Amino acid sequence: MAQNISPEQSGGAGGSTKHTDDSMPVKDNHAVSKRLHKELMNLMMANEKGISAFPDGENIFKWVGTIAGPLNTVYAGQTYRLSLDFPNSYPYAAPVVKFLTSCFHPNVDLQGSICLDILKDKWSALYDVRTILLSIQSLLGEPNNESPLNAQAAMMWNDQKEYKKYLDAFYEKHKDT
Amino acid sequence: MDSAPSKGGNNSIGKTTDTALTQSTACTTVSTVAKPGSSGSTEPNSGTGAADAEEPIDASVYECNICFDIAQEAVVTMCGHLFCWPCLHQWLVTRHRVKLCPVCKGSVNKNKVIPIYGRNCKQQVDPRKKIPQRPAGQRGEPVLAPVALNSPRVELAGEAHMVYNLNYFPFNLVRPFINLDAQRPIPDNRDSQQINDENTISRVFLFVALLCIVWLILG
Repeated sequence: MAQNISPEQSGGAGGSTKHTDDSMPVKDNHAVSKRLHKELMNLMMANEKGISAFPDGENIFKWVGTIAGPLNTVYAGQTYRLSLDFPNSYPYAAPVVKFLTSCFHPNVDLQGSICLDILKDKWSALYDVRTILLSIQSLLGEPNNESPLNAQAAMMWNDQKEYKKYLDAFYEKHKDT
Repeated sequence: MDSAPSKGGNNSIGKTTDTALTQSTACTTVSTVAKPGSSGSTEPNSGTGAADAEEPIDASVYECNICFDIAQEAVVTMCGHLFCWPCLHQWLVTRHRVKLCPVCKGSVNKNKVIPIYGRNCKQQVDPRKKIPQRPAGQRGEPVLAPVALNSPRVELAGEAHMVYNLNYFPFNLVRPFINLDAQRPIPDNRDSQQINDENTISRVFLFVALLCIVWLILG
């Protein structure tokens, strides 16, 4: 865009940052990484059964988590890997969570995207990696078939025996991913 | 959601989110959300000074519910949840539609938040008067290396100043038609005298240009 700005006016770049501050507040990154470090500490100390998470490499803003399929469900015995991508505005905005392992579930699409309200409009700054992973874990056993991302899975859910059979075949097919 | 105000601290989250989540939304709701309060107990910070004979005070009960650190410039909401005021303010600013408590999802009003002053709190200034704070640092997302075709353009984009001016003749003749700078803010340090001068000069040039064109046509 043509911007007829004289050099002394263009020098005041602070004005533009102030503007973004109003519309989409971004918390100091130091505070974000501090909180993520704290979460990591808590997770390691708590040693929660069935879930774990760790930063993926050097970048504290990208994590990889694992959840075990909940017991007494068709997903029991399976382990799922997920990626957690934290925005700069965390915890005021939810992280982007995706399944890395293929997951056949009514509320997970084939790309691994998850439809879960606490990751969208019901997000709260209080939620952390631990609560997110526990929520997804319980989502596995209690899908919401009203708003499915995977319509086939939602239709099959009622017949758990068939579902389990299909699931086993599905894992056989996606063994390498 | 307001129908479920929390009664006792963090541990009510499982129950209250429960009711909050039963609202019909496009997305999936989960009936069991973990209790964040329980994670606090993993960090038994020793109490600050006073009680060392008895069981140590768990300082984590005074952690802000947003940054998970000991609350600075602490405020408490009407529903009883503790936050740093900067953290809570940021949260309220990010919620455009409804202002809800992050813990119990009860309604939160800036004017009904209570600041907390401890005994050794030197300056009892209402933290709500100190906001807005200085602007936060910003972290840019890493940009992947561009494809070979695009690389020259990337170098260009790195240049800080690319000011090209359409204010002068003959470009100003076409400028009203291309409307490039429709939302251009009017710089406030130009006084009206300067603007008038510029307009006069602009008109003189326009006149000269018209003369030239007429002369060309006639000639």
